[in-house]
Amino acid sequence: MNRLAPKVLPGFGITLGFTLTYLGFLVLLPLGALLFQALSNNPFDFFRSAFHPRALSAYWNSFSMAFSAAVLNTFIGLLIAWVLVRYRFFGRRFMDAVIDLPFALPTSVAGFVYSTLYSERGWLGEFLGQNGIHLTHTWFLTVLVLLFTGFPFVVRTVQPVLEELDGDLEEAAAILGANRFQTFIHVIMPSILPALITGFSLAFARGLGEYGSIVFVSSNLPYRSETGPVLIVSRLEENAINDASAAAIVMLMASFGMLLLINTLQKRRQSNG
Amino acid sequence: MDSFNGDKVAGLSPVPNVAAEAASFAPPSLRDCRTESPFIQYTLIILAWFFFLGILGIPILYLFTQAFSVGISLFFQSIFADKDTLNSIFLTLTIAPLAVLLNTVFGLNAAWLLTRYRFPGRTLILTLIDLPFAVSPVVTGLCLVILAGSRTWVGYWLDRLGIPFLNNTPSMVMGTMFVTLPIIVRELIPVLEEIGPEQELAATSLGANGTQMFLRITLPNIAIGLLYGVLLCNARAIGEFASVAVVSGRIAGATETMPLRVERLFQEYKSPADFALASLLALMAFGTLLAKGLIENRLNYRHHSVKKGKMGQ
Amino acid sequence: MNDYLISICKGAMACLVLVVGALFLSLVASPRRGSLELLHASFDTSREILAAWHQEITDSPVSNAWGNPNFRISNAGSAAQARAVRDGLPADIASLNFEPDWQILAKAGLVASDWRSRLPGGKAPWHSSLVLVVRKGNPHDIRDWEDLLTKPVKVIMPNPKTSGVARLAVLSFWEARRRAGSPASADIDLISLCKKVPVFDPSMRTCTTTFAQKGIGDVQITWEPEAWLEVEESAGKLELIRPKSSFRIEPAIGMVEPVAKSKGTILLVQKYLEWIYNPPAQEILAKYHFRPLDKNVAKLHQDQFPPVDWITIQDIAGDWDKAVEIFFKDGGLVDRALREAAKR
Repeated sequence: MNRLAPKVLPGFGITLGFTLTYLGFLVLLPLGALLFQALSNNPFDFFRSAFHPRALSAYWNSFSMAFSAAVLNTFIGLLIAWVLVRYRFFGRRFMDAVIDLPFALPTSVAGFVYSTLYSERGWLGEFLGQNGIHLTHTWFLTVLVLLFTGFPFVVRTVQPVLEELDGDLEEAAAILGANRFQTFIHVIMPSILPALITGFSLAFARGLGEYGSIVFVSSNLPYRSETGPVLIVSRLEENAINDASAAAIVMLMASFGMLLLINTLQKRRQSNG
Repeated sequence: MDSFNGDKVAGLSPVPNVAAEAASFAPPSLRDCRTESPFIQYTLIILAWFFFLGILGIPILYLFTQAFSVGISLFFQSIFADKDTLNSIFLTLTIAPLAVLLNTVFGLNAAWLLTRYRFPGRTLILTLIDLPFAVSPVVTGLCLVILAGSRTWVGYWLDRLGIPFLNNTPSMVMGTMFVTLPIIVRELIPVLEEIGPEQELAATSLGANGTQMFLRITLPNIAIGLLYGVLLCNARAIGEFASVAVVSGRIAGATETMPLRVERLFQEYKSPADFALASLLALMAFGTLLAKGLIENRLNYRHHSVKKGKMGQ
Repeated sequence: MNDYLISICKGAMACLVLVVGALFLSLVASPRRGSLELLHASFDTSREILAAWHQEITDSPVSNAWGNPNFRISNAGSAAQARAVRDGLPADIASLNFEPDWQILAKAGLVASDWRSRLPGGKAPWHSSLVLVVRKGNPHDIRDWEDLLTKPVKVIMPNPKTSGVARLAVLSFWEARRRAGSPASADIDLISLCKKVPVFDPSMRTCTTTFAQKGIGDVQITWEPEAWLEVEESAGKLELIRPKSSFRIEPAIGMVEPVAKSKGTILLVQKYLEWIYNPPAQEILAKYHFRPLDKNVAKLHQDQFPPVDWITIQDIAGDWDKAVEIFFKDGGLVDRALREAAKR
């Protein structure tokens, strides 16, 4: 269909006008303000803020925590998706429904529940404390809470793919003498790999930008465990707008980069597969 | 590739008689070759429950037990007797629906535009729509603070004209709108694509104008998908924390939404009120899940995966 | 083509009307400004005292005389509050516990730089001291600032980049160590102190939560009002320790003129600022463990407020600008201490 051909269905003009204005007002305007603000200083100052040692350590913390959580989520998510799709067991429906809870729950609630639960007056904190394990404000607990907030991403991305997987391939593999493990590795995995990667990236991106839960659970030590979003808020509270916006832009570019990566990977997959 | 037993005869077509072959040396029944041994199955199921309970179940259980630890009446009292908490509930129930409403109108517009027409710039619009998902909510709040702060001319004019924006509800609504922007659109796009324009084309060729076509043909077709998207958007809007925290003025009892109020109650040692309000939020989340499940099961609506939601390039 | 343009414009207009309309509609739920209302933007741990003051005003006949105003409070870390007010938070009154934050507002023309001269008697309505809170029985035998260094304790204090009290604590600590040694040794001591902090909460109040509720750390650096509150709530599990010297914490408080002018509350704010020096208000201050200015009230409660060797900014760096330059700006002493401390 010629792209510039006259539109048959009514409503082109109106929807175009509405959509462009909405996006312009809501997306371009705020982001543009950020860019404008950050770049209105001289480039030297901008780079100095963006790559300030405190910011660099914050980027690294965000990256490593989100990455670990996303990797763990991928394995756990795959497991759960598999179990939900392939097996029938008591409570399956319940598990399937509740998986989406982290989508709907505010991150601040997740944060403070986790931090209290693992503190000395919480169930798990008390139990672990008796065995000499104190998890409050540790890196481990932060990754754990990121697991919570990113939990549904991998499961929900892999589930539909698993459901629609062609059984014939597995049967063929079995007939040809492969055991289940081999079948899984060579037949099933390649088919769900794109979904796994997408789910991983979604969980990763979410973890990068996470604030509400981290601020309760982590120790937020500058240069040590402070993450990107916490740094940005802290800079804002210190009245250091330039530093805040510089760090924000770096984090934005990282997320955009990830988005671009997913898109290109998927495009490549689509043209190959 | 190994040749099959006893099939070298007479150059038969290499397509094996699957059942026979399977019967001869593969596991006894055809069904079994797609399942694991019971031992593995049980292990996997137990592992799945372990992670599910450990990560999701126990914290939620803890939340509810703490909230009700002092009894049901105190639970309700701690929420409804506190003026500021009530105000936060009212605030959330104003901001979220407004954001959802606007994003619904936008979602309908954008989904229609992107699925029914081809035009230069389509991909750009799609990218812009996906953008909010890649932006941390903290950055969203920061953008609004910069946009309307005292340094910019936008802020200056808002001040001059006496229009309240920052530290007040409009900025909170705008932040929530930004964060939940893509949800409804992405829900509607696969639905509209699947349905296809045939019915609408037929309607227009029979003389229906835009509104009639939309109301009589399009809307009924996408109703369930729209409902689903609205549900998700609403849940997300209610639970939004970071962006609202950055733009609100932290004025106790005035610009605190429920998620912010929970934080403040927690900081002010007001147990079990903090857990109580948090469990109220959790109940609302469960309500959303319930509605989601109902739509999926009773109305047979399949939520399309993210990948499919991206339109073919 | 023209039809398209027209319909595009129609769509755009519809969008703008809808969005702007919705944003305005949301104001329905915003803080009501129907009747007379005063917003007091203050630092984090002032919630209780301000609420008590406002309650007292509302309960007394003064309220009628003032026209029955409604009071609202906003609390945030000192620096954060300064930014909020600068960005247009409609506060009629502001009070901050860290002078440089106040000067930021003064430079923006929002408040008077010489706030003391605008107040009755030319002095702040109260002052306060830094104190330490320890666990029951004081197991590490903490008595003064140097014990924080010598004893194997974990110290809880707020983030000195955001909290006013934390920055004052840094100054106190540094000065106490300087008097015991030299500026160079004080620098090193500061770094050692930061190494002992397991978690930096953004505000005083979250710090208290961390120490008192979550049970983290052995010693908390805080100030009198907060410490008393904590100790009382802990029912015996916490104790208050007074170091010999402390920075004399005085709040910068005053009217935010542009806001008061536009809201027509100038007279009301002036009355408010006068009222807080009256005996009832001062009595409430003492009740909440702020050291009142009023000598009579102070004498009544003097057992609560033992004398302290006061440190002022003049002792440390001459004036606030120099102090900010040395300690608090990016790359200053605090920043370096945090970085060194992170290199464990």
